Amino acid sequence: MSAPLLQVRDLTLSLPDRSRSGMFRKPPMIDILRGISLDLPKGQLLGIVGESGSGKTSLGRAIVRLYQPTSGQILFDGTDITDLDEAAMRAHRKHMQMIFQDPQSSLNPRRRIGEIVAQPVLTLGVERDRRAALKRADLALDRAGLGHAFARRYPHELSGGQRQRVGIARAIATEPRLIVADEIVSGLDVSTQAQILALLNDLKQDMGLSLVFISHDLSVVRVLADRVMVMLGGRVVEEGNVADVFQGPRHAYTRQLIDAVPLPVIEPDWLDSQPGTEGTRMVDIKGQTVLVTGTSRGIGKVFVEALLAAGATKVYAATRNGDGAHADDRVVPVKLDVTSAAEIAAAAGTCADTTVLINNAGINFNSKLLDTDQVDAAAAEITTNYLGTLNMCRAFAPVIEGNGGGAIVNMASILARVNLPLMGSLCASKAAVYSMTQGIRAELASRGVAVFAVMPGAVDTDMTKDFPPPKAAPADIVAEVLVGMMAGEADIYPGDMAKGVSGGLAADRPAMIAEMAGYV
Amino acid sequence: MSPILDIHDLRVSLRRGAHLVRDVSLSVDAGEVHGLVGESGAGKTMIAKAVLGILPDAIRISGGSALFRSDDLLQLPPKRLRSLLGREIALIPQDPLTGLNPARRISAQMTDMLRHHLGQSRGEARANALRLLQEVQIRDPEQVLDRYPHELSGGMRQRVLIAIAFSAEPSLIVADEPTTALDVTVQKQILRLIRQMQERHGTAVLFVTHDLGVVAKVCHRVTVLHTGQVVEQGDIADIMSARATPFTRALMDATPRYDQPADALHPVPEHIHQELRATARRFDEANP
Amino acid sequence: MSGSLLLRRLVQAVPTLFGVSVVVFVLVRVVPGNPIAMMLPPGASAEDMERLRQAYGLDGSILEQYVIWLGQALQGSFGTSISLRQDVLELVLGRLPATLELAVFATIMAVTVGVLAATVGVLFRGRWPETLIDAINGFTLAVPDFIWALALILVFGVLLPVLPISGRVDPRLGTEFSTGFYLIEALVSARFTVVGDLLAHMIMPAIALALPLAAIITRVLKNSLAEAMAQDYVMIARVKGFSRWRIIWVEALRNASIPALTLTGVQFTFLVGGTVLVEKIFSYPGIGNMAIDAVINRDLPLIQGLILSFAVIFIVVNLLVDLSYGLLNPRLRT
Repeated sequence: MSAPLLQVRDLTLSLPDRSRSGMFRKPPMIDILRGISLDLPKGQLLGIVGESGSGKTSLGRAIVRLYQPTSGQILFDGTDITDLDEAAMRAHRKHMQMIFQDPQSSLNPRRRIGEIVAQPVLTLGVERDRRAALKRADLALDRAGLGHAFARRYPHELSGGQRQRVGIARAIATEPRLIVADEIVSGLDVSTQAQILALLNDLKQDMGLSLVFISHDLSVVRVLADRVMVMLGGRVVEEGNVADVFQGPRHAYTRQLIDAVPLPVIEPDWLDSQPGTEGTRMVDIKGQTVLVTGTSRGIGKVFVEALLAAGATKVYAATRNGDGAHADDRVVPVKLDVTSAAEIAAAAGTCADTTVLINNAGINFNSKLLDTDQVDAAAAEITTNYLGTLNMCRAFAPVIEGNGGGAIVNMASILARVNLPLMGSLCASKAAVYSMTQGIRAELASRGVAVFAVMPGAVDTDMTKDFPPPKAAPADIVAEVLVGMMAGEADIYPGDMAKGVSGGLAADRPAMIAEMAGYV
Repeated sequence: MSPILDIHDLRVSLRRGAHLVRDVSLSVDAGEVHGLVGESGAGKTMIAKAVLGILPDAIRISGGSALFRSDDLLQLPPKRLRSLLGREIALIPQDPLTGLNPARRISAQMTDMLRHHLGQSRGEARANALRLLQEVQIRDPEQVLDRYPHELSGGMRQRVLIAIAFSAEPSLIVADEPTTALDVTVQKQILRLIRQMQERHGTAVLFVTHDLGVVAKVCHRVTVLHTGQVVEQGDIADIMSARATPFTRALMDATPRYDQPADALHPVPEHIHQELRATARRFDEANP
Repeated sequence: MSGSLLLRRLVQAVPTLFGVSVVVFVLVRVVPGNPIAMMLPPGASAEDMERLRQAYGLDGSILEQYVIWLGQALQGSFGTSISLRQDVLELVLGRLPATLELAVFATIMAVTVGVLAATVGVLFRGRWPETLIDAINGFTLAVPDFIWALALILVFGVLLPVLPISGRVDPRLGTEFSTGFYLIEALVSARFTVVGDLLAHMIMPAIALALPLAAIITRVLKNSLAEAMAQDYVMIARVKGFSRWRIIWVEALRNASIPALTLTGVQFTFLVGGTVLVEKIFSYPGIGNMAIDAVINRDLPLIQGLILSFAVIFIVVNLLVDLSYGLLNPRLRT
């Protein structure tokens, strides 16, 4: 296969949250897109689906550089266009066009259709001569199925479908190689929509166009796309061949999205069915009051930042000595040692508005089960990791329920699923946490509290200094946990290692255990 | 059993003369969800607005009747109509963004009718509003009552609007594309809620939509419209079957489906549109 | 939010007032006309003139003069009026209440008339009351305030002499006031004869000032009301069975009033500007009247002081307008 026309690498976009700006305070940045990567081969159509707030529109705009990405790379036909200035971009603009949802607002009512379509041809320097540009406009109008007779008309004389054809004609007039189309058939009648979809398909084949097709409508994407990308909360949840994703979605959120589309067939049980949730509810961080334990370092510290960026209203940052002071006034430091029953009870009183509890605090002695040289690692690990988490759940489940529901997230480890020879007592304590989490999930099932178990692999923190690579970055782990919560996955396996191990255990358990033993 | 709403030969026209709804008849029984389906310009919203007496100034009713029980809604004096509206007939609008007044608290918008038309005291009305919010499964109903619309999500706002519509226990609700502006997962929740509420209260619903998928999931009977004329009317099972008329079937074939590949999609053949437009023209010539 | 808005506005007011003072200072000194010459009897010697110039600090360069003026102004002294030989601040503060009472009275009148006319216009959309309101509106918009003033004097002062045509209060009543806010004071102390007399003096200048503003409010509010009436929430209110009057007052007016309010804030500026001519025509003792005399006499310190007080009024009024947005639109509160 030839090299992709468009490559996006680890694209991040943050925009200031204006609703939280003050006179002397810079508005905090809110993450719109987090680590998006995609490849679009020549002549293919990539569908991007997601609900409002998923970041799909922002991604489209970032690709054509209407938004400046915060980090990451955009390669167009092998050229890095991420940081090109507007003058340098002009050379590429004629090759990459965008079509918007509402053609009405992007068509100047005083101009004739021909001039509107010819305009990018002139401004992007495809033609210098006005006549030649108008000629290209005629051709584009013919291709868009309107006929060049429309060139003499004005926008208000056209129907919605015809206006969208003008939008398409304007985009193809410069003979681009890439078109980003954002919700261009929503709001059109079914009979008009079907015609526009057929037109796009023809253009793709005849002109060898590559398209990024953004839509909230899964069915429309199914008709057009070669590949599809499902987005949620600024991240890619699932990506793949369109037939594969729609027939066998791997991700709970994708399943739920597909199931929610009403097909025109009679299905008496459809309204009451809720597949994809498997006893867990989807939880969005936006607007939540979150308590995180163990925030003095490592993953806990990263959690605080990620929760703020995801729009949490308040974050209780618990540390053993209560010194979690933070520049953002949404962060409230809390002194909380999870091994102290008194401190847990006190925290449940002072943090009475908590809606999401993240049990992250844990310890790790890296010791074997049968050697007890210094302290009894097994007792200490069980006390903090298991009993600490359990006592937090006991204290906060009623608090969260009383606040109208929310979530509990228990950070276990992939070691909960497989016991490693050198750190047996840690693995046992994590397995206990995992088992306990499943039990709590069952007990809270009907009480509006979603319970998540997180099983990360090796994470690059102080605690794992002695651990051999590969180790995942804490920020990636945390971001995947938040997406998992939004998607309503009960057990979250963030990072490649965790996914690999979990998949391996499912496929061939003895082989996986043997491999893990070798890893240490 | 006599229908709750019986529309007979309803004709709606521009003040200048052109017809928008051409002698449409349909009836909605108690406890029934009746779908009114069509593309833009088919006249579905005009029929709904005519029933509610909220047609724009430039549009008038030029014939027919709309019997609600024994009252013709099209002939009632304004005062009598106003006393029926709200108490007996309610509306769920399309856009939860503009359906609630941005300048008034949810409590004010939920209680004004209970207080002014049903004569409830402030406390009674608030208690009723709370109960309704619980019924439409809103968490923290106390808090929500004291909020302004912009502080709620789209799905929450639509739940509030549904609660308002059901607040006086009306016998007929007109739902005008109530889920078109919502995300697909929220749409499913709202459709479920409308059906639950409607079944629990035995309410008749006139459900206006352009989406055949939504129709298949919530309606008992359906009227399909094109250019202000009834193309087809019947039980949902018939409409969704091969027995349907060519236009309805063509509409189904033009609706993309995630479970079917691209080549299953066929635009509505132009001759079907043309034939229906010709019928409309003949109607206009016979009824200038 | 409103606290931080207040703070922000106060901080922004500083450069605004500084800019106004610089522009006015330079302008009044470069336009032709010699205040000193006007103070002295004809035939005064060049030495007399020079002495007086020094006494009023008019002998330095404009920059020197400005620095001296600014230094004094920061200490609360705006100099001495050349024509009236009194402290400028005292003069302005003495006259300001009369103008404020007149302007606020006129604004209340304009808003009342404007809201009523807009409501009736929307209620009777497409019928004769709307046509009538539009016609009156068009006419009122075209006629400036001082023409109204003259017409009113002609009708109610001369042809039908029912209203006093000059002054603020009848001296024959012999009332004493301890503040400059006569109307408020008379109302508070329940002297209703005096209130009546004050209103009789105020009514014609107030109408003259209010009519053009009322016309603008009507036009803008009518449009935004019509827009609000097309919203879904109004449709819901209609389906709830509420009357059109109630719907306009309860549902639509608050949402529709933001553009009209913004405009009223801006137009208040013009209204205060209008007081200059209207007060002169009615010999009403406010700062507008004083401003004309000050300009005729080339009374530089007084002009300076008056214009700065106009500037302060504009800043305060626009701040009030901004603060009231939050009352009308809860979304702007967060």
